[in-house]
Amino acid sequence: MNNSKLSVKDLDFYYGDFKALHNVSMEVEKNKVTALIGPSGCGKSTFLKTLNRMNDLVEGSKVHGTILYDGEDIYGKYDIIQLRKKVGMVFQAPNPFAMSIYDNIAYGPRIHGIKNRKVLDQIVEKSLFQAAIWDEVKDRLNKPALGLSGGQQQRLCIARVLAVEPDVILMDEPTSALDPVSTSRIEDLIDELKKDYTIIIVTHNMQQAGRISDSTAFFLHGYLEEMGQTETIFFNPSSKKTEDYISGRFG
Amino acid sequence: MQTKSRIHFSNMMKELNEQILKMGIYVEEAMKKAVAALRDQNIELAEEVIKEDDRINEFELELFDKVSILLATEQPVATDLRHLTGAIRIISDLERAGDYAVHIAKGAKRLAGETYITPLQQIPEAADMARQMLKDALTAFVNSDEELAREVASRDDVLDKLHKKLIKKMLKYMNKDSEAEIEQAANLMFLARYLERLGDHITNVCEWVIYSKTGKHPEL
Ligand SMILES: Nc1ncnc2c1ncn2[C@@H]1O[C@H](COP(=O)(O)OP(=O)(O)OP(=O)(O)O)[C@@H](O)[C@H]1O
Ligand SMILES: [Mg+2]
Repeated sequence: MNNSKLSVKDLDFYYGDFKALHNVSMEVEKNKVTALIGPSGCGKSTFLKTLNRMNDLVEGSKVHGTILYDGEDIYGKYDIIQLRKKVGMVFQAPNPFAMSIYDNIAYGPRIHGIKNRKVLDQIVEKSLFQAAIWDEVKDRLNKPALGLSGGQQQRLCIARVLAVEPDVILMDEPTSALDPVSTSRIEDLIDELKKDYTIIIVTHNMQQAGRISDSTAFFLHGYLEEMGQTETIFFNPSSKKTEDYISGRFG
Repeated sequence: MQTKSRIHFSNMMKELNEQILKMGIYVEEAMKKAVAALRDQNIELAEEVIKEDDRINEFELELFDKVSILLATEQPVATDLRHLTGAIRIISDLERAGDYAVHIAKGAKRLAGETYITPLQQIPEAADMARQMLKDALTAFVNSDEELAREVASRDDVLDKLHKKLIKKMLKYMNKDSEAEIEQAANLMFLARYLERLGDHITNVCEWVIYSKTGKHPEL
């Protein structure tokens, strides 16, 4: 498949002796939103983190199988710093650094060696603008990021990821702590961002998966039970287990 | 692991199914009375059918609102969703079926003063059949019984044959000299036509049963 941004093949993942992912294969399409759904503990976050090797930090973890990013094996000779720049991550709880709004955004680019103030200014403005929060913060760039509301903080975190010019954005329940209005703003933003990025989002909100994703993957007990077009998954899934889960009949 | 959950929603769905069955019984009764009124030339009975049609029309609107509220509050997906969208179509088919009973009742009133040119045979026979089909189609819906739905739809052929037989019979009166006989034959053909249409609506119900079960639109 030439439209594949990420191509996962026969992926097993272990936390020590515990096998958290079993033989997962998945094609993630370029410029699409892929939703990962499934009951708590089924391995969604684990899977998401294998995509930019965040799990490498967990002691005793083991990966089998391959993950190709633009055709290159990320568990091969791929440079990890480069990978994390290209495959950015937004977490469940907004986690701005205890510094100014400006510095939060400039942080990544600075690490990647950008010192020029004008260039940084541009990156900060562009990223905040793309994350649909520029108008709300442009007059308080030097104020602490922690003074923003939860929804604003989450958009700031998205801007922070965008600032290093990634290609893929991983989001782990990015709106679970937000009110419906902030949630809508993030959802609109995701819709906007997919023109330029490939997005994978974990969500427990079935309606959200239905609203924003092109494909939906249902995980169960560490297995990828079913994956398909979001319309198909929510209208006529093949697996009885998928149907029970999305219908809220699963316990 | 499957446990009981969404009990409230399941109860609401069960309640809706029961009400659809009840609406079906009203329609069936209306059809039964309408044809009896025609056969027995009973004007009072015919008027009862006409009057009671309001109840069927109101029932449709009530169930329509009920389904809308379930869609808004429970946000069903997949089979549940298709069952509800199918239900919307089915109650509208039932409402139409009620209208046909009214048409037949009105015909009964028109023909009550006449002497029948021939004993009514195909119309009551077709009505009995259609009523059973309707009952079975709704049973198929509430039980998501695809096989039964297909079987019911296949009976529509018999209804069509009865209809053709009646038409043939009536056409014989068409070249008679008596204007009254011609008019009565034409009236009976019209009434038979409503039963044939009723069969089509029942087939539609069967199609919605299969749709809600499979997500595919069958051509029955
Ligand atoms: N660092 C870790 N060490 C050991 N086991 C872990 C670790 N992180 C997760 N697990 C286990 O791996 C399994 C999958 O966890 P994961 O966090 O991927 O689930 P999840 O689908 O994201 O769940 P949730 O929806 O609750 O966030 C769970 O059984 C979990 O307990
Ligand atoms: Mg998780």
